[in-house]
Amino acid sequence: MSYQEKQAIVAIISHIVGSITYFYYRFQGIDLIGSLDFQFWASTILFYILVLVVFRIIIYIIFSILNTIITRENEPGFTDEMDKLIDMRATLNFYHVFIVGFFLSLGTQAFNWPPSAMFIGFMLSMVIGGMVAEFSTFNFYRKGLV
Amino acid sequence: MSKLRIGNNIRKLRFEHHEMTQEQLAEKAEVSRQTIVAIEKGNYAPSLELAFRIALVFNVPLEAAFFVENENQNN
Repeated sequence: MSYQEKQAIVAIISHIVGSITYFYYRFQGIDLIGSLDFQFWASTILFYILVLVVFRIIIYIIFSILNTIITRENEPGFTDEMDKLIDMRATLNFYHVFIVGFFLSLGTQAFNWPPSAMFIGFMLSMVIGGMVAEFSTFNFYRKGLV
Repeated sequence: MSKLRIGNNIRKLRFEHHEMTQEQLAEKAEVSRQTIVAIEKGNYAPSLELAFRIALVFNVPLEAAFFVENENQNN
């Protein structure tokens, strides 16, 4: 398995673990459906992005050190055209999922659902979109771009 | 418009050039070994620039390194 494939698997795991851990602690003792505290929802979404970025950086550093120790294989020092293309395609997949989720979340308000449904929808779109992007990256490295 | 499938002779060219390794070719073409592996397997069609760079490493014309596969089936 190549370094990039291993890195993609680590990204998938860190995304899932990071998201579950963050939401578990953030939503403890909160009435999710009834909450009308917009400040809470806004800060939850903003901190989610921040926490995920920091968590991922830490996981990547640990992965890089462990991988070098175990396999004696150095991290690729640059990204070439295939890496950039895979990154672009994976990001595009994220956008597709997120846009669908965004409009579905707005749709909840058209059907008189509680406002929290919209914010939960935004967060789910980000979580699922992120996972789709990570799986796409792994799949593109595994099966190619043809 | 049907998509053309690009084949390549990179494995053969590496063999003819003193069994050049994928790592050596990747270094000379300034890409990662993973990219060379993907091109050789037919999992990635390189850009025109990279295709020329690979051909230049072997000092052969572009069409000696890359060709169109199954052209009749796709038309």
